[in-house]
Amino acid sequence: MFRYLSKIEIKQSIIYYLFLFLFFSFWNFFSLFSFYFYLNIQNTLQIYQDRLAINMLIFSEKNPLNIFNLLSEIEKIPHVKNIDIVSPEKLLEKVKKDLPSEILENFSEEELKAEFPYILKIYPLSIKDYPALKDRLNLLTKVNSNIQIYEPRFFKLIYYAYFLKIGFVIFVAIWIFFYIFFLYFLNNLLNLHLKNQTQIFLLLGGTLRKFKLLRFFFLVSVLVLAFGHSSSLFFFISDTISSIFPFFKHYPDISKEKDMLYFGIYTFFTIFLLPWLTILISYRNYEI
Amino acid sequence: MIFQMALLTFQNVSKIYPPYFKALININLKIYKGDFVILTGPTGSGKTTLLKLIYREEKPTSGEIFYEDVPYSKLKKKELSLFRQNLGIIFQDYKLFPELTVYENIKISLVLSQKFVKNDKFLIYEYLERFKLSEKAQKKVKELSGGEQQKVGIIRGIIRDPEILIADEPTGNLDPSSINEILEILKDFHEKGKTIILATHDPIILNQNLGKTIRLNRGELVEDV
Ligand SMILES: Nc1ncnc2c1ncn2[C@@H]1O[C@H](COP(=O)(O)OP(=O)(O)OP(=O)(O)O)[C@@H](O)[C@H]1O
Ligand SMILES: [Mg+2]
Repeated sequence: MFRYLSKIEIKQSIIYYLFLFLFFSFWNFFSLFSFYFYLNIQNTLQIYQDRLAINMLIFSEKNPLNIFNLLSEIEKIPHVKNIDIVSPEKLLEKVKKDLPSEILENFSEEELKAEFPYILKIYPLSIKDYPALKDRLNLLTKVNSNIQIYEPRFFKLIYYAYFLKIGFVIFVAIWIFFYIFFLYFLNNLLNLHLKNQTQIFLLLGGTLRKFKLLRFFFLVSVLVLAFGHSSSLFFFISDTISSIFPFFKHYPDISKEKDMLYFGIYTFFTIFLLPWLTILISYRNYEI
Repeated sequence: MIFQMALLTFQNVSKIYPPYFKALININLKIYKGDFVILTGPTGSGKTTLLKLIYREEKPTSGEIFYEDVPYSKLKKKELSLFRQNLGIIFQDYKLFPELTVYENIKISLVLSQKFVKNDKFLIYEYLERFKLSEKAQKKVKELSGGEQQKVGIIRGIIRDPEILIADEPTGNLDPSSINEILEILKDFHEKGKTIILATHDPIILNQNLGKTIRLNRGELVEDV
Protein backbone atom coordinates (compact mmCIF):
# COMPACT_ATOMS: atom_id res chain seq x y z
CA MET A 1 0.00 0.00 0.00
CA PHE A 2 2.76 2.43 0.94
CA ARG A 3 4.27 1.85 -2.46
CA TYR A 4 1.17 3.11 -4.23
CA LEU A 5 0.69 6.00 -1.87
CA SER A 6 4.31 7.03 -2.35
CA LYS A 7 3.68 7.16 -6.05
CA ILE A 8 0.68 9.39 -5.48
CA GLU A 9 2.57 11.60 -3.05
CA ILE A 10 5.80 11.93 -4.98
CA LYS A 11 4.88 11.95 -8.63
CA GLN A 12 3.08 15.24 -8.72
CA SER A 13 4.86 16.96 -5.88
CA ILE A 14 8.54 16.30 -6.43
CA ILE A 15 9.03 19.98 -7.12
CA TYR A 16 7.76 20.89 -3.63
CA TYR A 17 10.25 18.53 -2.05
CA LEU A 18 13.02 20.04 -4.12
CA PHE A 19 11.95 23.42 -2.85
CA LEU A 20 12.08 22.11 0.71
CA PHE A 21 15.61 20.85 0.15
CA LEU A 22 16.81 24.25 -1.02
CA PHE A 23 14.98 26.11 1.69
CA PHE A 24 16.19 23.96 4.53
CA SER A 25 19.76 23.90 3.27
CA PHE A 26 19.74 27.66 3.35
CA TRP A 27 17.90 27.89 6.66
CA ASN A 28 20.10 25.41 8.47
CA PHE A 29 23.31 26.89 7.11
CA PHE A 30 22.29 30.35 8.16
CA SER A 31 21.13 29.17 11.59
CA LEU A 32 24.38 27.41 12.36
CA PHE A 33 26.38 30.40 11.22
CA SER A 34 24.43 32.89 13.25
CA PHE A 35 25.02 30.78 16.35
CA TYR A 36 28.67 30.47 15.49
CA PHE A 37 29.13 34.21 15.11
CA TYR A 38 26.95 35.11 18.00
CA LEU A 39 28.69 32.80 20.43
CA ASN A 40 32.09 33.96 19.29
CA ILE A 41 31.12 37.59 19.68
CA GLN A 42 29.77 36.91 23.16
CA ASN A 43 32.97 35.14 23.97
CA THR A 44 35.14 38.02 22.91
CA LEU A 45 32.86 40.40 24.74
CA GLN A 46 33.20 38.44 27.96
CA ILE A 47 36.95 38.78 27.80
CA TYR A 48 36.68 42.50 27.16
CA GLN A 49 34.04 43.11 29.74
CA ASP A 50 36.32 41.91 32.51
CA ARG A 51 38.98 44.38 31.47
CA LEU A 52 36.75 47.26 30.64
CA ALA A 53 37.34 50.18 32.96
CA ILE A 54 36.95 53.94 32.88
CA ASN A 55 40.26 55.53 33.59
CA MET A 56 40.15 58.57 35.79
CA LEU A 57 43.34 60.62 35.73
CA ILE A 58 43.99 62.96 38.64
CA PHE A 59 46.81 65.43 38.08
CA SER A 60 48.78 67.51 40.55
CA GLU A 61 47.33 66.03 43.66
CA LYS A 62 50.01 65.58 46.25
CA ASN A 63 47.88 64.59 49.17
CA PRO A 64 46.92 60.89 49.18
CA LEU A 65 44.19 61.68 51.69
CA ASN A 66 42.30 63.65 49.05
CA ILE A 67 42.57 60.72 46.70
CA PHE A 68 41.06 58.42 49.32
CA ASN A 69 38.22 60.81 49.88
CA LEU A 70 37.52 60.89 46.21
CA LEU A 71 37.74 57.12 46.13
CA SER A 72 35.11 56.62 48.81
CA GLU A 73 32.95 59.16 46.99
CA ILE A 74 33.12 57.13 43.79
CA GLU A 75 32.56 53.84 45.58
CA LYS A 76 29.18 55.14 46.65
CA ILE A 77 28.01 55.31 43.03
CA PRO A 78 25.76 52.25 42.52
CA HIS A 79 27.17 51.24 39.12
CA VAL A 80 30.69 50.62 40.42
CA LYS A 81 32.03 47.11 40.80
CA ASN A 82 35.51 47.89 42.00
CA ILE A 83 38.35 50.36 41.66
CA ASP A 84 42.06 49.86 41.13
CA ILE A 85 44.50 52.60 42.01
CA VAL A 86 47.67 53.18 40.09
CA SER A 87 49.89 55.64 41.94
CA PRO A 88 52.36 57.89 40.06
CA GLU A 89 55.24 55.72 41.40
CA LYS A 90 53.75 52.60 39.89
CA LEU A 91 52.99 54.38 36.70
CA LEU A 92 56.50 55.67 36.40
CA GLU A 93 57.82 52.21 37.07
CA LYS A 94 55.70 50.87 34.30
CA VAL A 95 56.58 53.40 31.64
CA LYS A 96 60.18 54.01 32.56
CA LYS A 97 61.65 51.68 29.99
CA ASP A 98 59.58 53.24 27.24
CA LEU A 99 60.63 56.80 28.00
CA PRO A 100 63.30 58.36 25.81
CA SER A 101 66.66 58.42 27.55
CA GLU A 102 67.03 62.24 27.25
CA ILE A 103 64.06 62.71 29.49
CA LEU A 104 65.43 60.36 32.11
CA GLU A 105 68.76 62.15 32.02
CA ASN A 106 67.36 65.67 32.28
CA PHE A 107 64.72 65.15 34.95
CA SER A 108 64.97 63.60 38.34
CA GLU A 109 62.59 60.88 39.37
CA GLU A 110 60.83 63.23 41.78
CA GLU A 111 60.25 65.76 39.04
CA LEU A 112 58.84 63.17 36.73
CA LYS A 113 56.57 61.76 39.38
CA ALA A 114 55.09 65.19 39.98
CA GLU A 115 53.99 65.30 36.39
CA PHE A 116 52.35 61.88 36.56
CA PRO A 117 48.75 61.50 37.60
CA TYR A 118 47.05 59.10 39.92
CA ILE A 119 45.00 56.71 37.85
CA LEU A 120 41.76 55.24 39.14
CA LYS A 121 40.59 52.30 37.07
CA ILE A 122 36.88 52.20 37.70
CA TYR A 123 35.08 48.98 36.69
CA PRO A 124 31.34 49.13 36.06
CA LEU A 125 29.05 46.35 37.29
CA SER A 126 28.30 45.46 33.70
CA ILE A 127 28.62 47.04 30.31
CA LYS A 128 25.14 48.42 30.39
CA ASP A 129 25.99 50.42 33.56
CA TYR A 130 28.74 52.08 31.68
CA PRO A 131 26.98 55.21 30.30
CA ALA A 132 25.33 56.04 33.63
CA LEU A 133 28.62 55.64 35.42
CA LYS A 134 30.37 57.84 32.93
CA ASP A 135 27.79 60.59 33.41
CA ARG A 136 28.32 60.55 37.15
CA LEU A 137 32.07 60.71 36.80
CA ASN A 138 31.81 63.52 34.28
CA LEU A 139 30.15 65.60 36.96
CA LEU A 140 33.32 65.28 39.02
CA THR A 141 35.48 66.50 36.16
CA LYS A 142 33.33 69.60 35.88
CA VAL A 143 34.02 70.50 39.50
CA ASN A 144 37.72 69.79 39.40
CA SER A 145 39.74 70.63 36.32
CA ASN A 146 42.58 68.41 37.45
CA ILE A 147 40.51 65.37 36.82
CA GLN A 148 40.20 63.80 33.39
CA ILE A 149 38.33 60.79 32.13
CA TYR A 150 39.29 58.35 29.41
CA GLU A 151 37.07 55.81 27.75
CA PRO A 152 38.52 52.52 26.68
CA ARG A 153 39.15 52.09 22.99
CA PHE A 154 36.45 50.49 20.81
CA PHE A 155 34.03 51.18 23.54
CA LYS A 156 31.06 52.04 21.30
CA LEU A 157 31.49 48.81 19.38
CA ILE A 158 31.55 46.69 22.48
CA TYR A 159 28.70 48.57 24.04
CA TYR A 160 26.42 47.92 21.06
CA ALA A 161 27.56 44.34 20.76
CA TYR A 162 26.37 43.84 24.31
CA PHE A 163 22.85 44.66 23.25
CA LEU A 164 23.16 42.10 20.49
CA LYS A 165 22.07 39.57 23.09
CA ILE A 166 18.51 40.88 23.21
CA GLY A 167 18.46 41.35 19.45
CA PHE A 168 19.70 37.83 18.97
CA VAL A 169 16.94 36.30 21.08
CA ILE A 170 14.36 38.18 19.01
CA PHE A 171 16.07 37.13 15.83
CA VAL A 172 16.11 33.46 16.86
CA ALA A 173 12.41 33.58 17.71
CA ILE A 174 11.53 35.11 14.34
CA TRP A 175 13.86 32.78 12.53
CA ILE A 176 12.29 29.66 14.10
CA PHE A 177 8.84 31.01 13.47
CA PHE A 178 9.81 31.55 9.85
CA TYR A 179 10.76 27.87 9.58
CA ILE A 180 7.57 26.66 11.25
CA PHE A 181 5.53 28.86 8.98
CA PHE A 182 7.35 27.53 5.95
CA LEU A 183 6.75 23.92 6.97
CA TYR A 184 3.10 24.60 7.59
CA PHE A 185 2.78 26.42 4.30
CA LEU A 186 4.50 23.62 2.39
CA ASN A 187 2.36 20.94 4.02
CA ASN A 188 -0.76 22.87 3.17
CA LEU A 189 0.38 23.26 -0.40
CA LEU A 190 1.00 19.53 -0.68
CA ASN A 191 -2.33 18.68 0.97
CA LEU A 192 -4.18 20.96 -1.33
CA HIS A 193 -2.35 19.58 -4.31
CA LEU A 194 -3.21 16.00 -3.37
CA LYS A 195 -6.62 16.76 -1.91
CA ASN A 196 -8.68 14.88 -4.51
CA GLN A 197 -6.60 11.77 -4.19
CA THR A 198 -6.56 11.78 -0.40
CA GLN A 199 -10.32 12.06 -0.46
CA ILE A 200 -10.69 9.10 -2.81
CA PHE A 201 -8.48 7.14 -0.47
CA LEU A 202 -10.67 8.06 2.48
CA LEU A 203 -13.85 7.14 0.60
CA LEU A 204 -12.40 3.73 -0.19
CA GLY A 205 -12.03 3.17 3.54
CA GLY A 206 -8.47 4.31 4.09
CA THR A 207 -7.33 6.64 6.84
CA LEU A 208 -5.16 9.74 6.81
CA ARG A 209 -2.71 8.05 9.16
CA LYS A 210 -0.85 6.40 6.31
CA PHE A 211 -0.64 9.70 4.44
CA LYS A 212 0.72 11.43 7.51
CA LEU A 213 3.34 8.77 8.11
CA LEU A 214 4.34 8.83 4.48
CA ARG A 215 4.56 12.61 4.43
CA PHE A 216 6.66 12.48 7.58
CA PHE A 217 8.95 9.91 6.03
CA PHE A 218 9.46 12.01 2.90
CA LEU A 219 9.92 15.27 4.76
CA VAL A 220 12.45 13.72 7.13
CA SER A 221 14.38 12.15 4.26
CA VAL A 222 14.63 15.43 2.43
CA LEU A 223 15.47 17.33 5.62
CA VAL A 224 18.18 14.84 6.58
CA LEU A 225 19.76 15.21 3.16
CA ALA A 226 19.59 18.98 3.27
CA PHE A 227 20.85 18.98 6.86
CA GLY A 228 23.84 16.81 6.02
CA HIS A 229 24.64 18.88 3.01
CA SER A 230 24.41 22.32 4.60
CA SER A 231 25.94 21.28 7.94
CA SER A 232 29.03 19.86 6.29
CA LEU A 233 29.35 23.06 4.30
CA PHE A 234 29.06 25.01 7.56
CA PHE A 235 31.67 22.89 9.34
CA PHE A 236 34.02 23.24 6.44
CA ILE A 237 33.72 27.03 6.29
CA SER A 238 33.76 27.59 10.05
CA ASP A 239 36.85 25.37 10.34
CA THR A 240 38.55 27.50 7.76
CA ILE A 241 37.59 30.69 9.59
CA SER A 242 38.80 29.29 12.91
CA SER A 243 42.10 28.26 11.43
CA ILE A 244 42.67 31.75 10.04
CA PHE A 245 41.46 33.59 13.16
CA PRO A 246 42.37 31.42 16.15
CA PHE A 247 40.21 33.44 18.54
CA PHE A 248 37.16 32.15 16.67
CA LYS A 249 36.25 29.02 18.57
CA HIS A 250 34.43 26.02 17.15
CA TYR A 251 30.71 25.84 17.73
CA PRO A 252 29.40 23.25 18.24
CA ASP A 253 32.54 21.74 19.70
CA ILE A 254 32.33 17.99 19.12
CA SER A 255 34.45 17.27 22.16
CA LYS A 256 32.11 19.17 24.51
CA GLU A 257 29.15 17.26 25.85
CA LYS A 258 27.07 20.39 26.39
CA ASP A 259 27.59 21.58 22.83
CA MET A 260 26.60 18.19 21.47
CA LEU A 261 23.48 18.12 23.65
CA TYR A 262 22.32 21.48 22.27
CA PHE A 263 23.18 20.45 18.76
CA GLY A 264 21.20 17.25 19.25
CA ILE A 265 18.17 19.14 20.54
CA TYR A 266 18.38 21.54 17.60
CA THR A 267 18.52 18.63 15.16
CA PHE A 268 15.65 16.80 16.82
CA PHE A 269 13.43 19.87 16.76
CA THR A 270 14.12 20.96 13.21
CA ILE A 271 14.18 17.57 11.53
CA PHE A 272 11.66 15.53 13.50
CA LEU A 273 9.43 17.39 15.92
CA LEU A 274 8.45 20.52 13.96
CA PRO A 275 7.73 18.64 10.72
CA TRP A 276 5.57 16.10 12.54
CA LEU A 277 3.61 18.79 14.38
CA THR A 278 3.02 20.84 11.24
CA ILE A 279 1.87 17.72 9.38
CA LEU A 280 -0.67 16.98 12.11
CA ILE A 281 -1.95 20.55 12.15
CA SER A 282 -2.07 20.91 8.38
CA TYR A 283 -4.15 17.75 7.94
CA ARG A 284 -6.79 18.88 10.44
CA ASN A 285 -9.35 19.92 7.83
CA TYR A 286 -8.91 17.05 5.43
CA GLU A 287 -10.96 14.42 7.23
CA ILE A 288 -14.23 13.56 5.49
CA MET B 1 -43.54 -11.24 8.69
CA ILE B 2 -40.69 -11.11 11.21
CA PHE B 3 -39.37 -7.74 12.20
CA GLN B 4 -36.28 -6.79 10.21
CA MET B 5 -34.06 -3.88 11.06
CA ALA B 6 -33.38 -1.55 8.13
CA LEU B 7 -29.78 -1.46 6.96
CA LEU B 8 -29.92 2.24 6.18
CA THR B 9 -32.50 4.71 7.45
CA PHE B 10 -32.95 8.33 6.39
CA GLN B 11 -34.85 10.29 9.00
CA ASN B 12 -36.10 13.74 7.89
CA VAL B 13 -32.89 14.34 6.00
CA SER B 14 -32.36 17.66 4.23
CA LYS B 15 -29.26 18.86 2.49
CA ILE B 16 -28.64 22.48 1.72
CA TYR B 17 -25.51 23.38 -0.21
CA PRO B 18 -24.16 26.70 0.92
CA PRO B 19 -25.37 29.31 0.75
CA TYR B 20 -28.98 28.20 0.29
CA PHE B 21 -29.42 25.62 -2.46
CA LYS B 22 -31.84 22.92 -1.31
CA ALA B 23 -30.54 19.71 -2.89
CA LEU B 24 -32.57 17.32 -0.74
CA ILE B 25 -35.73 18.13 1.18
CA ASN B 26 -36.98 16.11 4.13
CA ILE B 27 -36.14 12.62 2.89
CA ASN B 28 -37.50 9.61 4.79
CA LEU B 29 -36.30 6.29 3.49
CA LYS B 30 -35.50 2.77 4.63
CA ILE B 31 -33.24 0.38 2.76
CA TYR B 32 -33.16 -3.26 3.88
CA LYS B 33 -30.49 -5.86 3.53
CA GLY B 34 -30.77 -7.54 0.14
CA ASP B 35 -32.69 -4.67 -1.45
CA PHE B 36 -32.01 -3.65 -5.03
CA VAL B 37 -32.84 0.05 -4.94
CA ILE B 38 -32.97 2.05 -8.14
CA LEU B 39 -32.74 5.77 -7.67
CA THR B 40 -33.96 7.79 -10.59
CA GLY B 41 -35.05 11.30 -11.46
CA PRO B 42 -34.05 14.09 -13.78
CA THR B 43 -30.65 15.66 -13.88
CA GLY B 44 -29.97 17.77 -10.84
CA SER B 45 -32.70 16.14 -8.76
CA GLY B 46 -30.31 15.13 -6.00
CA LYS B 47 -29.45 11.48 -6.72
CA THR B 48 -25.70 11.87 -6.31
CA THR B 49 -26.25 14.00 -3.25
CA LEU B 50 -28.31 11.26 -1.64
CA LEU B 51 -25.60 8.70 -2.34
CA LYS B 52 -22.91 11.04 -1.02
CA LEU B 53 -24.83 11.24 2.22
CA ILE B 54 -24.75 7.44 2.46
CA TYR B 55 -20.99 7.17 2.11
CA ARG B 56 -20.55 10.36 4.09
CA GLU B 57 -18.78 12.50 1.54
CA GLU B 58 -21.40 15.05 2.57
CA LYS B 59 -23.18 15.52 5.87
CA PRO B 60 -26.91 16.27 6.10
CA THR B 61 -27.86 19.81 7.01
CA SER B 62 -30.64 18.44 9.20
CA GLY B 63 -32.05 15.04 10.04
CA GLU B 64 -30.12 11.86 10.72
CA ILE B 65 -29.00 8.79 8.82
CA PHE B 66 -28.65 5.44 10.59
CA TYR B 67 -26.56 2.42 9.72
CA GLU B 68 -28.60 -0.33 11.34
CA ASP B 69 -29.35 1.46 14.60
CA VAL B 70 -26.20 3.57 14.76
CA PRO B 71 -26.59 7.23 13.85
CA TYR B 72 -23.85 8.39 11.47
CA SER B 73 -23.10 11.41 13.60
CA LYS B 74 -21.98 9.04 16.38
CA LEU B 75 -19.54 7.12 14.16
CA LYS B 76 -15.92 7.58 15.14
CA LYS B 77 -13.24 8.08 12.49
CA LYS B 78 -12.10 4.48 12.75
CA GLU B 79 -15.66 3.13 12.57
CA LEU B 80 -16.42 5.29 9.58
CA SER B 81 -13.44 3.93 7.68
CA LEU B 82 -14.44 0.36 8.61
CA PHE B 83 -17.94 1.09 7.34
CA ARG B 84 -16.54 2.43 4.08
CA GLN B 85 -14.35 -0.64 3.69
CA ASN B 86 -17.57 -2.65 3.45
CA LEU B 87 -18.97 -0.44 0.72
CA GLY B 88 -18.34 -0.74 -2.98
CA ILE B 89 -18.74 2.68 -4.50
CA ILE B 90 -18.90 3.40 -8.22
CA PHE B 91 -18.61 7.16 -8.55
CA GLN B 92 -20.31 9.16 -11.26
CA ASP B 93 -17.02 11.00 -11.83
CA TYR B 94 -15.00 7.77 -11.44
CA LYS B 95 -12.59 9.20 -8.85
CA LEU B 96 -9.57 7.19 -9.95
CA PHE B 97 -5.94 7.89 -9.16
CA PRO B 98 -4.75 9.35 -12.46
CA GLU B 99 -1.05 8.68 -11.90
CA LEU B 100 -1.49 5.02 -11.00
CA THR B 101 -2.01 2.18 -13.43
CA VAL B 102 -5.31 0.40 -13.99
CA TYR B 103 -4.01 -2.56 -12.04
CA GLU B 104 -2.85 -0.43 -9.11
CA ASN B 105 -6.13 1.45 -8.90
CA ILE B 106 -8.01 -1.79 -8.53
CA LYS B 107 -5.48 -3.33 -6.21
CA ILE B 108 -5.71 -0.41 -3.76
CA SER B 109 -9.42 -1.00 -3.40
CA LEU B 110 -8.88 -4.67 -2.76
CA VAL B 111 -6.17 -4.08 -0.19
CA LEU B 112 -8.21 -1.43 1.63
CA SER B 113 -11.25 -3.71 1.87
CA GLN B 114 -9.08 -5.99 4.03
CA LYS B 115 -10.70 -9.04 2.49
CA PHE B 116 -8.37 -11.92 2.23
CA VAL B 117 -8.02 -12.88 -1.42
CA LYS B 118 -5.81 -15.85 -2.17
CA ASN B 119 -4.65 -14.80 -5.60
CA ASP B 120 -5.56 -11.19 -6.08
CA LYS B 121 -3.59 -10.77 -9.28
CA PHE B 122 -5.55 -13.56 -10.89
CA LEU B 123 -8.81 -12.09 -9.66
CA ILE B 124 -8.00 -8.63 -10.98
CA TYR B 125 -7.08 -9.99 -14.39
CA GLU B 126 -10.25 -12.05 -14.46
CA TYR B 127 -12.31 -8.89 -14.08
CA LEU B 128 -10.18 -6.96 -16.56
CA GLU B 129 -10.66 -9.77 -19.07
CA ARG B 130 -14.38 -9.63 -18.53
CA PHE B 131 -14.43 -5.93 -19.40
CA LYS B 132 -11.90 -6.33 -22.21
CA LEU B 133 -9.32 -4.24 -20.39
CA SER B 134 -6.54 -6.73 -19.67
CA GLU B 135 -4.27 -5.19 -22.27
CA LYS B 136 -4.50 -1.83 -20.52
CA ALA B 137 -3.69 -3.19 -17.08
CA GLN B 138 -0.31 -1.48 -16.88
CA LYS B 139 -1.43 1.78 -18.43
CA LYS B 140 -1.84 4.89 -16.37
CA VAL B 141 -5.49 5.68 -15.81
CA LYS B 142 -5.13 9.19 -17.20
CA GLU B 143 -4.25 7.65 -20.56
CA LEU B 144 -7.57 5.80 -20.86
CA SER B 145 -10.75 6.87 -22.62
CA GLY B 146 -13.75 8.00 -20.60
CA GLY B 147 -15.58 4.70 -21.04
CA GLU B 148 -12.48 2.71 -20.12
CA GLN B 149 -12.06 4.76 -16.99
CA GLN B 150 -15.66 4.11 -16.09
CA LYS B 151 -15.05 0.38 -16.41
CA VAL B 152 -12.05 0.60 -14.09
CA GLY B 153 -14.25 2.46 -11.61
CA ILE B 154 -16.82 -0.30 -11.80
CA ILE B 155 -14.30 -3.09 -11.33
CA ARG B 156 -12.81 -1.26 -8.38
CA GLY B 157 -16.23 -1.07 -6.74
CA ILE B 158 -17.31 -4.64 -7.22
CA ILE B 159 -14.06 -6.54 -6.87
CA ARG B 160 -14.05 -6.13 -3.12
CA ASP B 161 -17.33 -8.03 -2.95
CA PRO B 162 -18.92 -5.43 -0.65
CA GLU B 163 -21.98 -5.77 1.56
CA ILE B 164 -23.50 -2.68 -0.01
CA LEU B 165 -22.84 -1.62 -3.57
CA ILE B 166 -23.47 2.02 -4.40
CA ALA B 167 -23.40 2.75 -8.11
CA ASP B 168 -23.87 6.28 -9.44
CA GLU B 169 -24.79 6.14 -13.15
CA PRO B 170 -22.36 3.35 -13.87
CA THR B 171 -23.41 3.08 -17.49
CA GLY B 172 -23.26 6.71 -18.57
CA ASN B 173 -20.36 6.29 -20.97
CA LEU B 174 -20.71 2.66 -21.99
CA ASP B 175 -21.85 0.74 -25.06
CA PRO B 176 -24.82 -1.69 -24.83
CA SER B 177 -22.69 -4.82 -24.55
CA SER B 178 -20.80 -3.43 -21.57
CA ILE B 179 -24.08 -2.33 -20.02
CA ASN B 180 -25.33 -5.90 -20.28
CA GLU B 181 -22.12 -7.16 -18.68
CA ILE B 182 -22.73 -4.86 -15.77
CA LEU B 183 -26.35 -5.85 -15.46
CA GLU B 184 -25.28 -9.49 -15.23
CA ILE B 185 -22.86 -8.68 -12.47
CA LEU B 186 -25.47 -6.64 -10.58
CA LYS B 187 -28.00 -9.44 -10.81
CA ASP B 188 -25.43 -11.95 -9.52
CA PHE B 189 -24.73 -9.63 -6.67
CA HIS B 190 -28.35 -9.31 -5.81
CA GLU B 191 -28.83 -13.06 -5.88
CA LYS B 192 -26.02 -13.46 -3.36
CA GLY B 193 -28.15 -11.39 -0.98
CA LYS B 194 -26.14 -8.20 -1.21
CA THR B 195 -27.64 -4.74 -1.11
CA ILE B 196 -27.45 -2.54 -4.18
CA ILE B 197 -28.26 1.14 -4.52
CA LEU B 198 -28.12 2.24 -8.12
CA ALA B 199 -28.69 5.76 -9.42
CA THR B 200 -29.51 5.90 -13.10
CA HIS B 201 -31.75 7.28 -15.78
CA ASP B 202 -30.66 4.72 -18.33
CA PRO B 203 -33.86 3.34 -19.93
CA ILE B 204 -32.25 -0.07 -20.57
CA ILE B 205 -31.83 -0.55 -16.84
CA LEU B 206 -35.09 1.09 -15.82
CA ASN B 207 -37.05 -1.22 -18.11
CA GLN B 208 -35.64 -4.33 -16.49
CA ASN B 209 -37.68 -3.98 -13.33
CA LEU B 210 -34.80 -5.08 -11.14
CA GLY B 211 -36.08 -3.91 -7.80
CA LYS B 212 -37.56 -1.11 -5.82
CA THR B 213 -37.53 2.20 -7.72
CA ILE B 214 -37.27 5.52 -5.94
CA ARG B 215 -37.87 8.73 -7.83
CA LEU B 216 -36.45 12.10 -6.88
CA ASN B 217 -37.60 15.42 -8.23
CA ARG B 218 -35.97 18.71 -7.23
CA GLY B 219 -34.72 17.16 -4.06
CA GLU B 220 -38.00 15.63 -3.00
CA LEU B 221 -38.91 11.98 -2.85
CA VAL B 222 -41.78 11.74 -5.30
CA GLU B 223 -42.78 8.12 -5.12
CA ASP B 224 -41.79 4.70 -3.97
CA VAL B 225 -42.75 2.64 -6.97
N1 LIG C 1 -21.00 20.72 -3.99
C1 LIG C 1 -22.11 21.35 -4.41
N2 LIG C 1 -22.28 22.66 -4.14
C2 LIG C 1 -23.39 23.31 -4.54
N3 LIG C 1 -24.38 22.76 -5.21
C3 LIG C 1 -24.28 21.45 -5.52
C4 LIG C 1 -23.14 20.69 -5.15
N4 LIG C 1 -23.29 19.43 -5.57
C5 LIG C 1 -24.47 19.41 -6.19
N5 LIG C 1 -25.06 20.61 -6.17
C6 LIG C 1 -26.37 20.94 -6.73
O1 LIG C 1 -27.31 20.08 -6.15
C7 LIG C 1 -28.22 19.63 -7.13
C8 LIG C 1 -28.29 18.13 -7.12
O2 LIG C 1 -27.07 17.63 -7.56
P1 LIG C 1 -26.83 16.07 -7.78
O3 LIG C 1 -25.42 15.91 -8.23
O4 LIG C 1 -27.22 15.37 -6.54
O5 LIG C 1 -27.83 15.75 -8.96
P2 LIG C 1 -28.04 14.39 -9.72
O6 LIG C 1 -29.45 14.01 -9.49
O7 LIG C 1 -27.01 13.42 -9.34
O8 LIG C 1 -27.85 14.84 -11.21
P3 LIG C 1 -27.25 13.98 -12.44
O9 LIG C 1 -28.34 13.10 -12.93
O10 LIG C 1 -26.89 15.01 -13.44
O11 LIG C 1 -26.09 13.25 -11.94
C9 LIG C 1 -27.74 20.18 -8.47
O12 LIG C 1 -28.60 21.23 -8.83
C10 LIG C 1 -26.36 20.70 -8.20
O13 LIG C 1 -26.14 21.91 -8.90
MG1 LIG D 1 -25.49 12.51 -10.25
